[in-house]
Formats: sequence, structure tokens, C-alpha cells
Amino acid sequence: MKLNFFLNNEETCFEIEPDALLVDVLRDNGFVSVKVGCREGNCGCCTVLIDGEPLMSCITLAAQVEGRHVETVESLGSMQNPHILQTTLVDHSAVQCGFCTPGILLATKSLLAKNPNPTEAEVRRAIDGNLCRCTGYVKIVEGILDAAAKMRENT
Amino acid sequence: MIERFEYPKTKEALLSLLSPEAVLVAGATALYKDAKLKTAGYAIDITRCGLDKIVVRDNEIEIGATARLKDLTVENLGNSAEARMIAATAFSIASTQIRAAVTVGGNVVHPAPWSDLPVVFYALDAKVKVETASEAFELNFEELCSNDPRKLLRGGVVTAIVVPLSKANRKMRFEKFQMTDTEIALANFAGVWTEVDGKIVDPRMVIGTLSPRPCRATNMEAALVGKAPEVENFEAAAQAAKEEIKIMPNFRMKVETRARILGVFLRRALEAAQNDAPYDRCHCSGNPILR
Repeated sequence: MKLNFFLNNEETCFEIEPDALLVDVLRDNGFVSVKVGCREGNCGCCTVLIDGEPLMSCITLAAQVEGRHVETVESLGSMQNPHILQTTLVDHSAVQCGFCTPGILLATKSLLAKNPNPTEAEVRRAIDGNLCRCTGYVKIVEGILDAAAKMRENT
Repeated sequence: MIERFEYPKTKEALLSLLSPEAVLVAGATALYKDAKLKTAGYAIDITRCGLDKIVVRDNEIEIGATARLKDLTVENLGNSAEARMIAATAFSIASTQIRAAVTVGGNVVHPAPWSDLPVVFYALDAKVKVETASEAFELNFEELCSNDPRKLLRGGVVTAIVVPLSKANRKMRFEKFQMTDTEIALANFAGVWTEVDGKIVDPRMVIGTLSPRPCRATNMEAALVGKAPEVENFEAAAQAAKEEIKIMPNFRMKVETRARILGVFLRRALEAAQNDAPYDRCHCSGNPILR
């Protein structure tokens, strides 16, 4: 079946199997920033935004996003033009292996779109579905809070 | 295996599509590993036909079946005690991503032993509205928790969960014992009672997770009826529940350990209800959600 949706703000059409998982469809079409971790909706490294909400693409059928807006981390920034969220996390040493980072960035993007001035507790809640085995979360949270402050200054 | 997806835009269109060949897709967080995905002829995405509305009336809250857990906030449910309990329960479930996906109807129709919302809805005596192409009917949680919910639907679809609101002086509380903020419950409980002339009447005590389905703790209720809402009576009621509940094995925590904590857990829940304690999701390992 054909899946018509918006991927990183571009009208997109993929040919898919009706029971295909979104994570596999995205990765098979080149969006390998969406990582495969647990395939059970536990680790969060497959997080994408669907209509602005963070969801686990490993337990989402691709067909569920028909007509919807899906965002991967590519919607945030690029190597040549990174988003302030990306640069700030790097500056805070909040990225080690990097496997969890795309999911955390997207969860954060969703948070800051609704709440540009979150508390630390709100940041921790927003990323409570994103496991990181490397950093211990402290620098991630600090980085997000710092990035949020910078983004507020820029607006 | 499914060969097509349908995306009905109205409830009537959805009902006309129902058949034994169809598999319904809402949050789908459990569907991806459901055998029915391989055997069904087609899938119906039921999230686009307006079944996600939350309506607050004087005497009830109607929660659309495809409302997500993230939508169960006091902003949407109102500020009644029932609304606060439902919101606190929803907020305690899993992670931000899961709460954005899981639907209220799905949580009721595809329950796991550790599911939280069915415990609360059972204690609140909520009703589940179901519609097929030819009829509409209601189910209560005693039926849903005694049977396979899917077999009760007569091939229909859950459209809403209706929670009655009471004007009486009611006390209520949801409590959950979980090791971290996002893990499943090791024990959960919802209790509701009315206070008349300083005595407990009409208690509804529901314990989840310890048995395959939520169950009314009838001995606990009997120990509370006609008693003053005081600590020694709460302790006696918690003890009655401990003796009544047959705890099933769970690889996360031994039966003996869960039995030991159950009495304290239930007593604390009853005290919190009596004191109208505020809900706080932050808790450290081993403590219930109340601060």
C-alpha cells in the first residue's frame, strides 16, 4: 500500500507493507537517525514526532501516520547548520555514544514547543522515555535547560 | 495478513466497517506483536472519527475511547476529586511517549494485569459505552474484569468511558507501587468511599496487579463499612485485604515480598484518601507516589 504523509515538512509517499513498523520504514528509506534499540517501546531511541508529539516508532505501525506530520532529527538541523539544541548538548558534553541523542532531541523539541521555559522537573519528565546508558542524564538536562534559555533569548 | 488500512472519518463510517475480518488500530502499542495483525483481512484506524472528545457534565465525565493518556489532565477533566484521581493515575503510567500513544479505550479493552486505569474506573463504577452497527450498550467494570473484555464487545467498538461524579462527601485515592517513575506497577489500588455521620459507607476497594485482573477487595470493604475513617480501622482493613488476595507470581518481585508490603501500602493509601493528600508523581525507588 502507499503511505502518504509529511516527513520533515515534505510531502512523502512510500510503498509499504500494511503491517510494517514505522521505524523500519523510516530506516529503510534512509532516515537512519531513527535508531533501533529494544523494539518494545522501552528505550526511546526510536522516538519521532508525530503531529508534534513524541512517540516510539518501533511500536507504531507505519500506516498509522497516513496524512500526519512526522519529524525525525533531520528536521532540527544538519551538520552544516545545526540547531541550537544540538550545539548546546555537544557543548555540555551531553553526547557520548550518541545513540539516544536523536530521540532525546525530538522529545525536547516537543517539550519546548509547548513550554519554552521548563523547570528541571519538566525536562526530566519530557525525556523520561529516553534511556541513556552513557551520561547519567545530568549533562543532558543541563544542556536542555541552557538551550531553552538561549532559544528564549533569540525570540 | 492485512491487505489494506481504512481511515473512517465518522463514527458511522467506522461502525459500517466492523467485521470479524477487521483489526482495530488506535494506539497500537500492543498490536504490533498481536497475532491478529497477521490473520486479519484489513485494519481500521479508529483515531480519526471523533472518538477522542472529553466532555465534563454536572454529573459525569465522558472520556472518548481514543483520547490518549496524555489528554487526561485536570485541564480537560475538570477539578473534581474523580478528575484529579484519573489525571494522577494517567500521569503515573509509563513514559511521555507511551502516554502520547496509549488510548483510554485500548487500556480498558487490552488490559495487562498491571494496568492502572481499569483499577480506577472499577473503583469509580465507570461504565464503558460500546456500539456495533446495530446496537449500543454499556458494560461495567465488574463484567470487564471477570471476562475477556474483547469477548464482551459483540464485535463492536468502545466509544467512551463514562465516570459518574458524586456530590456526596467522598474520599478517594489511587496508589501505585512501582520501582521507578516509568515502570509498571508491582501493586496498584483505587479506593472510594462516602462519609456519612463520621462513618464509612459504600466503600469500593479495587486492587490490581497482584491477580490477573483487578478485583474488589470485599473483605477489605466489609472491614470498613460503618467504621470511622481512622488509622486502626485502616490497618484492620488492610490486613483483611492481605488475607483475601491471592498474589500471583511475578518475576519482578517475589510473592512473599509483595505480601509484606501490601498491608502498609493499602493503609497508606487509605490515610492519603482520608487526608485528601495531593498527588505527586515524584518518588524514589520503593515508595508509593504519595509524598
